Amino acid sequence: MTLTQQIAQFLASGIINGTIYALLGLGLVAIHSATRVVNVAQGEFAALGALLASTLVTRGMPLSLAAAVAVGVAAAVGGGVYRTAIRPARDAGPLTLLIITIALHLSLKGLLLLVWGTDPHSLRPFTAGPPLRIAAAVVTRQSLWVIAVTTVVLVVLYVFFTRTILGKSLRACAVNPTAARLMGIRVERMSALAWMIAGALGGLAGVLIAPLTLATYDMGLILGLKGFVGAVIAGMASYPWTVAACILFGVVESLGAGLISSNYRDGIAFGVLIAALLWRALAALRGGLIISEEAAQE
Amino acid sequence: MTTTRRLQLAATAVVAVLAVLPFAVAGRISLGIFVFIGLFSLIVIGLSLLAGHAGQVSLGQAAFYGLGAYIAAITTLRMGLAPWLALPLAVGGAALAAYLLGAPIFVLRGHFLVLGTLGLNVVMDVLVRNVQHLTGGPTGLTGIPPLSIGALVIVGDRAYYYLTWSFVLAALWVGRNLVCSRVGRALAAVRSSEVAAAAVGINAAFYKSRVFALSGALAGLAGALYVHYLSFVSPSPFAFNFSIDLLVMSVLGGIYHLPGAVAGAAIVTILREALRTIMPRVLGSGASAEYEIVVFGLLLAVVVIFSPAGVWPHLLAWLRLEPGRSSRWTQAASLAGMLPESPPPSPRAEPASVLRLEGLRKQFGGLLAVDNLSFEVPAGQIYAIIGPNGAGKTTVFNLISGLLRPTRGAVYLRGRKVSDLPAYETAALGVGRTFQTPKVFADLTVLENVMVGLHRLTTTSFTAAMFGLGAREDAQAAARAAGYLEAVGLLDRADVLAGALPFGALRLLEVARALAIRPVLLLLDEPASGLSSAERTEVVKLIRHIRDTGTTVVLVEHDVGLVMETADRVLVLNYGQRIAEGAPRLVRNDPRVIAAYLGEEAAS
Amino acid sequence: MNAPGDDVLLAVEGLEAAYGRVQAVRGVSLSVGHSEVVAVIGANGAGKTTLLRALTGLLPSRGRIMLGGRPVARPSPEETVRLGISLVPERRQLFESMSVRDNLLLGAYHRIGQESRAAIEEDLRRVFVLFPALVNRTASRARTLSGGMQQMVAIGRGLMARPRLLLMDEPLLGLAPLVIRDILGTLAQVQHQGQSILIVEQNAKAVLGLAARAYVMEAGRVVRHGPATTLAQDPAVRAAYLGGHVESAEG
Repeated sequence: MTLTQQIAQFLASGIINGTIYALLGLGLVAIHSATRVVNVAQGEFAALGALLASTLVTRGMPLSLAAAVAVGVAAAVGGGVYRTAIRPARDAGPLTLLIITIALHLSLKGLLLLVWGTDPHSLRPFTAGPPLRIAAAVVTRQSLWVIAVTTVVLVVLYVFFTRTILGKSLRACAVNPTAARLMGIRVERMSALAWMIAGALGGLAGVLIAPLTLATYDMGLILGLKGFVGAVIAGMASYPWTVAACILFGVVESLGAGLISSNYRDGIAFGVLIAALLWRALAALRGGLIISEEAAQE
Repeated sequence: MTTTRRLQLAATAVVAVLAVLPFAVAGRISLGIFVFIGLFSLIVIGLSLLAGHAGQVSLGQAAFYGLGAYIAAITTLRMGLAPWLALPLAVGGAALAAYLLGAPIFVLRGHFLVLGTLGLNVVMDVLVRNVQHLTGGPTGLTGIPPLSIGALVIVGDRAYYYLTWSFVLAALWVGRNLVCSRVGRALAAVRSSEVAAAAVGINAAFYKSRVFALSGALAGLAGALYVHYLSFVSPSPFAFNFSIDLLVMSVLGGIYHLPGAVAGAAIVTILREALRTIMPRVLGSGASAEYEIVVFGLLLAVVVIFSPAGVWPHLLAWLRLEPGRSSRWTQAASLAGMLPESPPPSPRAEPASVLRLEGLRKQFGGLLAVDNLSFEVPAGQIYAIIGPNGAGKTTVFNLISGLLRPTRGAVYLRGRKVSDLPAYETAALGVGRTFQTPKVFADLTVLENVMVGLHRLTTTSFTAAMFGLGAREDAQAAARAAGYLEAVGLLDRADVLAGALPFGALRLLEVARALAIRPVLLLLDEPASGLSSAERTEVVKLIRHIRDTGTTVVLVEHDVGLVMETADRVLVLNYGQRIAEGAPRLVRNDPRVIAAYLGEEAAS
Repeated sequence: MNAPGDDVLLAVEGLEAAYGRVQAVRGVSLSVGHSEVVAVIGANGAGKTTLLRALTGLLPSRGRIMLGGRPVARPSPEETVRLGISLVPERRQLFESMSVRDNLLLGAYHRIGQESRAAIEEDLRRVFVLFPALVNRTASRARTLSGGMQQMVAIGRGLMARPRLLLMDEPLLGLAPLVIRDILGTLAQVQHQGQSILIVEQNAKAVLGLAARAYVMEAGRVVRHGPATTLAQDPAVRAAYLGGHVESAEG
């Protein structure tokens, strides 16, 4: 392969990986906006979706139904986690909430281990057939499914948040919960909804990626972390920027792993992350603000 | 027997048990597990300091553990360095790495440290696995020489047991010194209210990064001891999962009490060993030991939801060893005698105005809060700012004290521009303030709150504090703080926790704390609001007294009567603009002022 | 000063509420009639805002609240708006990153599902008729608007809830005189259309021109009440603003 072809290949796989990270990153942003919590267990929704879909298909369920059920179950688990673990602790500080999500990560991972064991599970690609050549890169059909489904999901999310009243009220809760309550919006129901959306997005990511990388009980953490990277670089606030940052991160990771060494893959990615954090910190140092403007207005 | 006495006895008992443990378990239980509990305790002590006292979560302590381990291994094995030299190198290397990473990150607020430290685990892991000629890659290095000092070689379970636990006790001592020192009080202040801490000159990021470096040092020390103990190192013990384990140990034991770190390390390690033997029997052979993840996850969840302060407080309560707030400060205060109130530093040849605002403007999105505001406050006066609600008065205070940056214009303190400085710098230059809603440090006593005010005037460094070298300065600070408390009438409540005070006392405490920085300029934000009329009279007297000692006072008030009684000059704001300024009588009869408060027609 | 009976929309008796540690409202009784504008004035710290927050359930309180003759159990804010009480909060509390139109729509949140989309759209049109300045800014984010326009959005949002009683917490705060004049005019229109309003304000003169009756609060209690025109001339009212001494009218 010529260098151009190689780079094209890395770009392609980077975009695909980045898309998966974006689904996780969006879930993280949704949860953080609604409940001010960093969800370390986000990746477990993906692991659950992947493993469940795999088992259902093995038991004979048609793929599309299995996928829908897996995503639905992940959403339900998200809502359940909110009701049982997050809502009771809602007045606790961010440190406690973070540790609760770490505990959730461990518990969920452990439950997945109990049910599915340590063996990897496979899921067949959505459509069979040889890989396709697009521009200079060779791309598997499943990868195209990843891009296509995610694009549809992003459009749906966009419409949901900007055109439906439910989506707008969810945004309102994130922006100003007191005012939202005064409008009659039941903030706790909205928070549960945010967690369900995050669960669904995570589950979907798992279902999409399982045909490419196999599903294991411990696949969640690294996926969640990479989604987190993109979300934080984008400021934990904006959905479109999160998607962009995650895809960019995927591309950097892929190029780094491909051009330098695949052994360094995760190291490069997180090295970039640390560099980005430090850069942000230095920029903030020059700005010099110690508190947010809003807090000062009180 | 007092609680302190019982605590001392209990501590002695624990040390005695530790000393004889190797002999007690000889032959029955391997001592190795206790060595590991000691190593983990070292790391968790650092993590608890970070989480409980600096309020930061690190998920990367395993990386510093690994860094210390590899530095010790590589320098002794590959470079032939004497092991007793490698130890400080490992500790220093890990501390430096932590400091370099943390110092910029702490400037950012929020979850950034978590992310940065997560990344660190991965980066370390990847580096170690791939720089094979140095680190031995995935298979690691063997044959690492044991610790030795000259001819004395330290080898074997028992030796490393005593060595490690000596370090653990030392770390507990250092940690306790830190928590009880000026640095510990500063950290407690930052935890309560970073804004109020900045208002007395405390730079939160400065201290957080040092605590982080200390936690890195402890982890690095544990790593170095580990490799000399086992003569072997490989990447697997330092994986990210271990960082999570460490956090579990920390939270389980209790992040607010350092001995809890040891308890947490012990509980988790023993539990893990027990599970490793029990699980295969319960779930059938072939069951992976990873099933313990479930148990730990649920355990962590239960503890953090039902007992966020961990196990230690319950243990203390059960043994009836809960320490009360010590009254050692008041004892020190009465011993040292009340020092007279020190006057503010005498002005050199300076402009007569203490404070000058020039064309100050502040915009929040589409809202103009302060519009082209200029005024000058002469030294030694009581200057009042009044105006209807929403006129921008608190915003002006926030601009002067450095909590906000102006959109345009500048603030000058004694001729020096301060509007581009962070709030803790402005405070250090002599701007003290109180807040509209009092922000006291609720977990500290009344006396300690004022001692925090003395922070920039005391000098015990972080290192000195670690070794308990600040005792004399602390006693002097306590005495001075007592003097300020007496000036505001709170001395009789010096040992009460600030969070328990009634509202009026909170206002007085804030004033005492602000006075402690020996301010050139004191900003009082609605000092009389919410007070009874008796308290109000006291406040008026206090403000006059403060002015008489040479401090310039600027106050924002709604109680126009109080303003008329105390102020030398009055500035009236409306819509963020200056509409009148001058002597109280004149301002009060100014038709524009009346119009601002009651509407135009009342003025005619 | 209670007027118990069905002709009163809101009747409050002996309301007590604390804000943090301060007992901010110490036994306040007031009433608002149908299609009436009632003002509560007083200096800062008098407890006016705490009063409104207690009425909408943002703060716990004791005492009786009767709406339309029926006692109201302590509602949460979400239920208060469903009972027909809508609050325009102090400092507006808009959804700053959302558009003007979205802010207004969300005001009608609790009506969705019960009323037709057309009815809500009709109310939206009516808000733009009341505040023509907003017509060109429907898509703008609320935080980019000036203070006056943000206040218009806040009032519009409150009206979108089709409340029986509109509560307003210091709506004239920090606004320029011309804008205040505009808003007062709009509020008069709104009252003319039948809306009952309870308005809490520090700008006594402005609001006494609009209201039919007023209560003066000081240190958590009602110290004066009566027709607005009478109170506007009352020296004690002026004293409440300019401190201690009651002086004769300046020349």
